[in-house]
Amino acid sequence: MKRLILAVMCLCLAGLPAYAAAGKSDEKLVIYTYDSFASEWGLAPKVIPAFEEMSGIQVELISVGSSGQVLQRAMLEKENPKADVVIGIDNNLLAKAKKAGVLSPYRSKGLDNVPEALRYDPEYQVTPFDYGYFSMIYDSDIIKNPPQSLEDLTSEKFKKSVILMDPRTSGPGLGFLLWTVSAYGDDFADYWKRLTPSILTITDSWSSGYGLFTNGEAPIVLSYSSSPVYHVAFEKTDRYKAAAFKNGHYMQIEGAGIVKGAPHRKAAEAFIDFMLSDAFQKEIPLTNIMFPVNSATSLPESFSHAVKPEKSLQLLPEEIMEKNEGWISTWVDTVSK
Amino acid sequence: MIPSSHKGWGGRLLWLVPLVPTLILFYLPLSVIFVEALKGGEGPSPFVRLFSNPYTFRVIGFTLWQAFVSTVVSLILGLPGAWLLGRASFRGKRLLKALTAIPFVLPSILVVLAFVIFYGNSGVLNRFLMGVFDLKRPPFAILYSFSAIILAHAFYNFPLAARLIGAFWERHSDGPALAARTLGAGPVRTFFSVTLPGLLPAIFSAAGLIYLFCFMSFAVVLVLGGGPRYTTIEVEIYRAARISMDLDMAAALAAVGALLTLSMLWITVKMQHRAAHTVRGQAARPGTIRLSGNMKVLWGLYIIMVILVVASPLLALVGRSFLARTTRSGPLVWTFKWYVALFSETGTSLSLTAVKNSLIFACLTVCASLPLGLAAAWVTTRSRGVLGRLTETAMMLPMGVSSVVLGLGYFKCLALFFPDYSGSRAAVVAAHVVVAYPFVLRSVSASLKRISPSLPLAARTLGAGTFQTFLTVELPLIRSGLVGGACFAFALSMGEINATLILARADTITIPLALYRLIGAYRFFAACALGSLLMGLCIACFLWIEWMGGESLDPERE
Repeated sequence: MKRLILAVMCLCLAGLPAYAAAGKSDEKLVIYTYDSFASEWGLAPKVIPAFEEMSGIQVELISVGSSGQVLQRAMLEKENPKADVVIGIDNNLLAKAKKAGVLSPYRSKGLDNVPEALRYDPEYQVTPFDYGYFSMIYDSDIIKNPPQSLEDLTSEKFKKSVILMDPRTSGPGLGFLLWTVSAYGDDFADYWKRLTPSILTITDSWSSGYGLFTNGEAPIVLSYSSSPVYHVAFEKTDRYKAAAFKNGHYMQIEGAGIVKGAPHRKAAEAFIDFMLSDAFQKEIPLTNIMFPVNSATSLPESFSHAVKPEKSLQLLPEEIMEKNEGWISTWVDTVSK
Repeated sequence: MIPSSHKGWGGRLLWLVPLVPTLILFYLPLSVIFVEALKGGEGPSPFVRLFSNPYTFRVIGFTLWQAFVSTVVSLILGLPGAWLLGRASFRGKRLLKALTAIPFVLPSILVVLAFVIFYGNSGVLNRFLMGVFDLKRPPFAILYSFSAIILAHAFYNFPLAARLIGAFWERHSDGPALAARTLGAGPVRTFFSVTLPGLLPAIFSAAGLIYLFCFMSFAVVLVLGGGPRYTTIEVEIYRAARISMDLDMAAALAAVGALLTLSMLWITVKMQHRAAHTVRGQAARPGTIRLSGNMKVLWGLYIIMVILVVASPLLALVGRSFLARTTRSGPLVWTFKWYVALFSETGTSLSLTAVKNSLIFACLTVCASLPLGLAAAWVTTRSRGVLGRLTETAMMLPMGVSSVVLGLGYFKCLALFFPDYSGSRAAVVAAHVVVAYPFVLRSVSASLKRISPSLPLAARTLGAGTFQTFLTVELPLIRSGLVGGACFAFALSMGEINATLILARADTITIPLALYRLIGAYRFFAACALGSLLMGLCIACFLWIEWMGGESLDPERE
């Protein structure tokens, strides 16, 4: 018996080289995107089949990890582009993408339905498709008087109560650092000094930070103002709430762009148009748990639990690109003391 | 030594078996990325930027220090376990052995969650203590400190130490120790002056692997340490490669890291070789000491500690996967709903496909890394001097290079040689093999080094050929080393995510990948459910591997 199994294993080993890649298909559209977009619980399974049916174009969706890696992959392939569309270039990555020169402009007609404030690339290299606000999410079973400003977070009563993310490794982490920069300017390091006693831990990624939070490790976590929507819509609980800050929230706008030298330019343009259409936009609220950019798209009822701040904060993409590294170094120095 | 055994064509060809894959699948992508990065762009060289910043030295210093402390703690905790696995016979030993590789199959994010669920401020342990002693504040505040990092690294590595050293101890001759006792030495003195030095090859061998593993640690250090106060080189590599997209810097950091790990490995390999010379002797039959009386109590205590450190966080994770709140802040009730969600939300095909893919990759990885690791161990133990040590060190390095950088290297290489590459399963398996076979090498080489040269020589004198000698004399003596290596190779492949993401076809999903996707989509409890499935699956496979390796189900019979 064992000999037989061993023999089978040896055969497997011999067959290893034959176990190689299959052939390629013909005309299609190649999209690079971040993992949670492509995931079974992401937008892709809801919108890609609809697009394929509508246009007759066959989509090859390639997930390359985080949104930073989407841009990185496009940069690595600059000489010989394979992708047509890259999804995941947000307002913090925009300047980097432009400097790399990997995208080419396209102005979709659908942009007419997008509010001026959300069209974050005046050159149309990137087209916005959804947006959200960074926000502190709190556990209302524990916190009765939620913080109302960044300054409130430094209060003694929130000692060791806040979970943040590291701006060196996480998108929301970087978003929060930029939030403090846009709120405090050059004094942001002083703010972090005051904030440090309130921090329980700084995690590597949003996933681990939010996981710690839902396990009851700390009552406040950095996330998106629309995060409560998930808990309301899928877990039927309004226990987790977003804290509205009166001085405004830092904003994240996510977009997609057409790769310069894209092999299937026409199909790429059709896809960008599709992203702004109602068929795509209506899936965003409950799948990506973000706000759709198309102002004609109606929000589900559960979105009443998402905070939509009156004031939104943003830094200029050029300023981010220029000063980002310096801010992060200052941050590391301040927080690691 | 039998110099003649590796002369001639057969011996030389054997060198190529481990060398060629390492060169092509590891050193080639690595050098592509280094060359690319060091050609440099505008501005000062990345090394100048790196070393002009005092922060770099702080990070390097901390990385070395935490890896050192973690290694020492893991070894100390692992030694009693090694004795249990190697010398004692008791019921449940096979299960205990199978459990040793479990931490390696779990993606770090799940390990972090498991720790928080068990040790956290509102974790199982603290709530239990608060309930029993009527306390207001959590009494056991170990998380978010240096000790938490060490605890988590011990969680990963002391089972590894116990397994590797135990495999060696199993066939360790009692003769010298008995002689020492007869000559009047006490048990403590005998242990420290005879037994412990005898185990040194295995201890150094395990230390090298544990050190590498802790050196590469990233999420565990950041989250459980409490933030950027505790930063390892790997965090900075990740930042440079993925966030700042400063490839020069990433390559420079990776080069510094690789250099540090190489020198560390060189030292452990050298010490292992030196120690091996002092203990070469007859191999004994497997240990069958039965536990009795006071010994039982002592070992009971040790096993309780093992359960507390390793099993409890994992059990808490499993428990979590069966719990749900009925109403907003209602009581927790037992439920299967997370498992149901796992198999119904996206159709049954997804989870099944993930399980199937993971199992196929892991089985192929084991099949390929066993012969590779064995050949590598064989040629490096049988060659004298610097060359053997150098090759052994070089073959260990895949464990010590940032997978982020290696992934970039693979990507560049593929773009260079296969412009039409769109992902293949064979490439995934190849990458898994490169990561996994150093474990087989380490696991086997300690046992191989200890085999007395007179044994195979005697077999040869009696007319057996090299191959027959190997099959009938050497193979049985290194069997438990092979089984251990196979288990770890299997575990590493099951848990791997970075290379899989880069090299697999876009639609190839594995269990860890599905786990990350669940967590990224707010589905933490379903992730716990899938994690529990992963563990159960692995325990079953480890038991199967042990059975294949020919270890009897009933230790009493041996």
